[in-house]
Amino acid sequence: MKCIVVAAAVVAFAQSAQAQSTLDGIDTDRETAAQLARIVESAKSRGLPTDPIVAQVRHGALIHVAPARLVAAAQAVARRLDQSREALGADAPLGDIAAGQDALSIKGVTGQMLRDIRATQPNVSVAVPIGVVAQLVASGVQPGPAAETVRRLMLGHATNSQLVGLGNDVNHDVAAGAGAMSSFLTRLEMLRPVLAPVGASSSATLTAPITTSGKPRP
Amino acid sequence: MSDAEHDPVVRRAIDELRKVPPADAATVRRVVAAAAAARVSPADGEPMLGDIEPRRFSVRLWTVAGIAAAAAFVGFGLSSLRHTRSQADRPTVAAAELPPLTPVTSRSTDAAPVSKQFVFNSRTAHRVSVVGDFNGWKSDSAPLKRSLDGDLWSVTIPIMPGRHTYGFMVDDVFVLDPRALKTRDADLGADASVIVVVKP
Repeated sequence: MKCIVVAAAVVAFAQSAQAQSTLDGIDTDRETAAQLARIVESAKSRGLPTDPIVAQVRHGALIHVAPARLVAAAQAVARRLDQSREALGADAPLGDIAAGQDALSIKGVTGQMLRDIRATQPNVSVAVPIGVVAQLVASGVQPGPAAETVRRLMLGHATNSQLVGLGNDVNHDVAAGAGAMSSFLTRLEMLRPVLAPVGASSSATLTAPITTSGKPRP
Repeated sequence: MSDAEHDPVVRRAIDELRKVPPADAATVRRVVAAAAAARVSPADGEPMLGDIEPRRFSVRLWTVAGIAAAAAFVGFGLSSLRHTRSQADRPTVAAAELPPLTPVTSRSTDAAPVSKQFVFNSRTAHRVSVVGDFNGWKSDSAPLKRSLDGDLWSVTIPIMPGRHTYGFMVDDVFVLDPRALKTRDADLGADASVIVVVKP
């Protein structure tokens, strides 16, 4: 029994030391550093990718965020990583889970949206489509239409370049003073040929060739 | 034009032969997909000059071989279609022999990082680096090099496809990329530049 306790203590110490080492070089007080290390350790023990947490901490430290906010930010990232993995599935690539976490940080993006996108391409990385949804929503496009449109574009075999092009165009339009939804609908016209019809499911559409009208052949 | 070509029968035969046979859309899509799959190293994803790895040569060979195979396949397909005009019962390329049609996006292409260049203008800066979620916001991981005229700083680094936030550290001060759009990080209450990277 004693051996087990000692072994557990050694493992805990080793994990703590490792978490601490990943946070090395971050300019913060000892107590904050310990809290951050615990958040990283906890995420690691749950099998979550810890890079996004460490990256957020480094980002915060770089811009001299207050310690309490730094800890809260790290906790928020860890929480969203959990939500992202739950939505995308435990077998999702770590990059997708990180992308989902990033998207969930934007108000309006939900776990269900991630789930729907993942269901559209269950065996393919969806980091880019998720990123585009995040980009569109961050630009001011309503979350529901943004996520559903990206999903339908994926069903219509739109390429990632086309998706990113849409997001960038809307972003630039908004930066130039245009309304987000107006720009979104206008820019979407270019992609009509690869927009799957409303209600299209992945199983039906992915196996059917897309015609020039944008509708799958029966 | 020779006399024989004025003959209406010969003229009609020439016209018939010059017609492009109708291509089967599904076959064309499969050929394009095969060619896209063979193109393993898009230009933007290739290493910079001076950073050429030994493996590059074999990749090029495979790329050329893949494109050649796809071209031969297209030629064979069109030739078969042309023959069907006179031999209607003869089957064209069997669909079952072709690889299944897959979306352009795939794990193999998306899992690979894409080379991305970051550029910053400053005549007065002494040290510039790019920091972002792609390099853990480490200020020493991607320093920019000053151009010969001293105004432009740049660095090209591999980044995984997806949405990324970043900025520049200019003499230890965080600065947004004036060329890029910005986004708000609600957790930190701070702005960052944003980029969405995609395999070209």
